Amino acid sequence: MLKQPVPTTEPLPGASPSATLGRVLGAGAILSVGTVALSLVIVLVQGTHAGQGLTPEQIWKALRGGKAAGVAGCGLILLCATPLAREVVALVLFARRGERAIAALAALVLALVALSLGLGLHS
Amino acid sequence: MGIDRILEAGLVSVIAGLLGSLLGLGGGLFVTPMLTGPLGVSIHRAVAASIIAVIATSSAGSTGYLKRNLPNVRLGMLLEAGTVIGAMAGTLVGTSLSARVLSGIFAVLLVGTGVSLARRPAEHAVTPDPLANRLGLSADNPVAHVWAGLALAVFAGIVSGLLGVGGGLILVPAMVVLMGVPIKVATATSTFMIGITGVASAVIQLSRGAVDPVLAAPVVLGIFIGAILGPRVSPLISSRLLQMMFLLAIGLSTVEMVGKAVA
Repeated sequence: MLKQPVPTTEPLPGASPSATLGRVLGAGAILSVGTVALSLVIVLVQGTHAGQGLTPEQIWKALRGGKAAGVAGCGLILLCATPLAREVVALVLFARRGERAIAALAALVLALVALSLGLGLHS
Repeated sequence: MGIDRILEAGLVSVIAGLLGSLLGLGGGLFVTPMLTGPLGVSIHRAVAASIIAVIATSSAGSTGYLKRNLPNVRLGMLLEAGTVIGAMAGTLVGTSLSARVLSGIFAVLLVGTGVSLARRPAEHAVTPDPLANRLGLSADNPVAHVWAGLALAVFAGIVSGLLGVGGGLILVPAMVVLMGVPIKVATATSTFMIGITGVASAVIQLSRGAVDPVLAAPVVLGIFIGAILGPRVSPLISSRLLQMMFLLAIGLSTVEMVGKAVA
């Protein structure tokens, strides 16, 4: 017998999804933007000019060399990871609440982004 | 692009972030023309930076909206599945499609969307879709026409992936006019969900080396500052004014798309 979905209008144990997801996004935004801000300080010190796109491998190389583009690229990767972290937390939260359809949507989105990354790397 | 221009990009991005988070548009609509016009950045670099800007707007803006419990999180998670599929398709086929044709189609759609939105009050009663009830989408406000909304979300994702703008321009009116979501909830929900759509496109752009980190950095910082202001300004403006601002954004975007289509 299929389990009935939990009515969402009734209060459920644990923190509300909105509050938890907000905290995840806030923490990710501060971490990533802080890193990006640090890169701008390096730009001002080093006098770096914009104009070159970098792959993740080139970002890693620039980061190891202490270059502004590497630090900025690291911040951008952290920024991209923030909504993904939110999606993972949402998957766990809604699965725990018994809202399997919403949890399945989160899993689908994560799988699609993973596919997107694979397509990007192999194109 | 020198340091003075980099700082200029950051300052203009503050306004883009504020408008983007207020209207649920992500800021790409404002960032792309700013970078390609006065700052002279190539369209490919500008689109890549504006996709990153969308993620910054979403993460920073949503934090404030979620504190106020304004977005319909479940509806956002449903629609974002559609936009991610569309964004992937749009980003992957972007180079093989005529930008003129797409801009023309988008302009026609925007005119229709604008007229529909202008004729509707900012908030109106709807009959909830049974699917919305089953998924818990109607817990706070009734939500109608779930499948039609999802189809439009896929199209919004395609446009976003192709042009780096436009996802919210379709999503917000679709939620308000078609699904009966109040405009402030619709813009907050759009801000919440567009981040993951941006990621789907951004990972492809990053993997291809299309993103210039030094160009994107001031844009992200400016957008972040503007986007955290959006949820603070939102309670101070009426739903009607927000609707009028959104119609203005649709109008500006339509002019831009017509320009691209006939160029």
